[in-house]
Amino acid sequence: MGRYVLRRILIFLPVLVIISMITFWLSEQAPGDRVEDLCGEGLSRLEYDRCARLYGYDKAPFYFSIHPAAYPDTLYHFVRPQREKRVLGLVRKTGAWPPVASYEHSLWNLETSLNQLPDSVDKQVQIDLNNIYTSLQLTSDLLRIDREITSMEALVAGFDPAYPLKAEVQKLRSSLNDMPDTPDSWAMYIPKFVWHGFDNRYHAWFSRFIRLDFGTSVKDHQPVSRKMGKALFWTLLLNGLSFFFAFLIAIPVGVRAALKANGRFDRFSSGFFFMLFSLPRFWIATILMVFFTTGYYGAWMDIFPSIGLGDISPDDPFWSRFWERGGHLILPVFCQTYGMLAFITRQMRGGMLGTIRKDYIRTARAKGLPENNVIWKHAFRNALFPMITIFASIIPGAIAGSVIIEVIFAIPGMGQLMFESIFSNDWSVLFAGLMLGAFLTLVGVLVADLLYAWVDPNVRFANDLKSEANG
Amino acid sequence: MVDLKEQVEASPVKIIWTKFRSQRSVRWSLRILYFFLFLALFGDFIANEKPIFCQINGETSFPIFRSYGVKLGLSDWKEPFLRVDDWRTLEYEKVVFAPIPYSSTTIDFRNSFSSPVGDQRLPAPRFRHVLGTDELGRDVAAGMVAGARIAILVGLLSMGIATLIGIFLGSLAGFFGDRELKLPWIRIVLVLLFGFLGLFWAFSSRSGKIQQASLEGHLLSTLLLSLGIWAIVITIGYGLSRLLELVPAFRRRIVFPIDLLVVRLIEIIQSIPALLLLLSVAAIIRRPNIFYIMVLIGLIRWTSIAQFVRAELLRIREREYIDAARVMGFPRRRILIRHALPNALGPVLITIAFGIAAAILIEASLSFLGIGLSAQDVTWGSMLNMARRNFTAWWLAVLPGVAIFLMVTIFNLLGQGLTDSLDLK
Repeated sequence: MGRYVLRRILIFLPVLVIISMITFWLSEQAPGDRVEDLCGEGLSRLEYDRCARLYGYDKAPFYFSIHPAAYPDTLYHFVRPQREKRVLGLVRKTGAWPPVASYEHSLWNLETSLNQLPDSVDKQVQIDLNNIYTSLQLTSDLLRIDREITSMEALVAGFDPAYPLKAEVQKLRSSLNDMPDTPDSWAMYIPKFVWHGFDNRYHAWFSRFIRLDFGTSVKDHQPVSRKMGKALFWTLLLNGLSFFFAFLIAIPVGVRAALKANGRFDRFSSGFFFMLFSLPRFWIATILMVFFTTGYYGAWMDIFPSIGLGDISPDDPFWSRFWERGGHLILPVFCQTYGMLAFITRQMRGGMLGTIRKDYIRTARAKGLPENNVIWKHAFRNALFPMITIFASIIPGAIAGSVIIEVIFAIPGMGQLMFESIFSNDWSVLFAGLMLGAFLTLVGVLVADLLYAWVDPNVRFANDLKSEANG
Repeated sequence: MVDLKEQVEASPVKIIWTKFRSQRSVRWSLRILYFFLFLALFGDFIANEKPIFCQINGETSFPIFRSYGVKLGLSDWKEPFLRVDDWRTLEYEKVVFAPIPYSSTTIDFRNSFSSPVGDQRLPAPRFRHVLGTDELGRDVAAGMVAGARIAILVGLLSMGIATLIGIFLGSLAGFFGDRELKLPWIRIVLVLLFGFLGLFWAFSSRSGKIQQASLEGHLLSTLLLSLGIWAIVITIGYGLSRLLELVPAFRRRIVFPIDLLVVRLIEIIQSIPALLLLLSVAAIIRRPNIFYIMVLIGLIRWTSIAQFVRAELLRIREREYIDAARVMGFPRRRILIRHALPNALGPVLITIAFGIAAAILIEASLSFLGIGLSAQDVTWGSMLNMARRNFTAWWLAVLPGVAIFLMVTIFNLLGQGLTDSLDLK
């Protein structure tokens, strides 16, 4: 058993790591400026850098990078997406890093020297210079850069040579002249491997994730883990209740259907559950909400409380809170339950059908044991083992279902939290949720496999034998 | 006598088809499917704001046909059709409208949330919104027709992609297992090397163009071009290795554990909850488009097809006729494609049928949540979503849902019918 557990965990870990890499890569692709999301827009350079350092955005994204040889090795230093885009655009066009670097450097100094211009300079000229600087920041089009620098040169022509601005504009010009205008340089097609070391963002993100620190939400600057903790309670409650009711209904129905296989009850129940299986949950939820939570279609149809979890204050007596919450949970739990029913019933029926044909059941019957005893003590117990794996295979469906159900019924669970994070660009919440969902699924499969091996020695011995044969 | 002879000579495909068709649920499912297919194919002539035929100032024209020409760049609109606000109120001498005189995108702002049975403000009774309208005044009947097209496309495109990937990887994994795929080491090295270089040239070197495309909204064609480049580079690597294999030193074969790799890949993809993954990916695409969702569903849902093909081939490769083919010295590729794969296609068809149902359901859930759709896309899911904004609009809550339910059910029933007629468990 120990060897099997070890082997199973050895498979689990790399899969988890690869999924974390996929998730991290996706989160890197999300639009927007992460630093501005976290610290607010309109930051000064210094504040921006401090914020970037604070949240680790000045570090390399991954252990290594493979990029065209034309790119600088430390591309990640350009934290601002706008700046990174400009640099990349220039490098792609020219294929040469050194002149682009000196252009960037001059542009960087240009802002400082623009701010240092004495008040004696004409206000309009200052505004014009600032406008040109802004448009230079936004473009990586060589012709346009040339035009903007020309007009800047005209503006600074009459300046005192002592102003640093004049020198910077000259430097800009010379670095622009140094840029070759061969559009597709060979350096774009040579891959280059750069090692960044362990001090990178992915490493930090994943080590924090393992310690259940999911970062900071940009919406209210709360730790994501705290928000998720609260949300997880409602999701677990919703799914726990649904699992409970689903098994409560599915097990007796599945057993009965198997005992009289192809009988009337079997045919009816399988047909009925098949239909339930095809009914989209979000449709039934919408229908129930539209027709049964309001009085539009006759007062008698206003049976259930409207969406949300109801207004209660913590001072209310426990039972009144209980009934209020319970009433609001009826429809969501119903929708979540019926979606699982078909699958669980089918599995139960299949498992039971398999066992009642076994020899030991015939032996038990031949011994003259009462039928009830045979079914529930001998057959049912053995048929339950395969049901262990069901937990694992239901988890992804339950996660998907609870996103939709929570959004429709406005339950503040994980699904709704993730859904809303999409619209508020709260990427740390969204991708922590994705990672958590994958983690739960993986753990579900792992636990199911281990339990299965524990109750059914065939599995682990078969695996041990195979590994011995292999090794 | 004749019957018996026919039965003996009937091909297995024909027997299965007859058995398949003989089920009542299958016959009904097929009829409904044909109806939806008809809607999807001829939707432009069933629901369109433009007339099929009209005569203005003595000139006859066929605006729907012309709109095809305009889309293809072969023709353009002339007066009086330039900048038409409302096709209903042009001064026609003769006119034949489509049965539903609205497109799914036509906005009739005088009829917001109009009930099918209530009063509607119309220029003529002919233009009644027979199934009502949504919040923007878009015709629900036209939306149902447009939704049918999207649903069929989702089924075809995403399951098409999923089937290609699933059969390819599943058959390699199942037929060769971990020990049987012995390749010359130079071929493994070169294909991997060129695979990496191809990826680099197709995506890294072109990253500027891809970024540009994602902003301008033609990401799909740019990515397809990148994939093409990748495929060409790999083919070059493969050709090079075939050339080098003429030298005996390069020919030494080593085992490639294809099964292990495919099984791990399936495990990875299956442990990421599909809906969450789709939500996350759709959220970061800057210019959403329904086709991205279809492709993404295809890229995620191939795993179950691959699993079935793999399991079938694991069973089939132990059969005597495969051994016989091996003894006869047929190349393994031919054994796989001509002898093994055709016998695995039954279960694959079943998974495809269930897979289409699942794909349609996932797409409907996403558009119900309002994710991954551009503003003008109308799908059954997005119409259903409108019902949540106005609880009195029962027609929006009922009709699109019935359509989704029917579509999902018929594919589930077809899958079930296939299972029964193929005598598989």
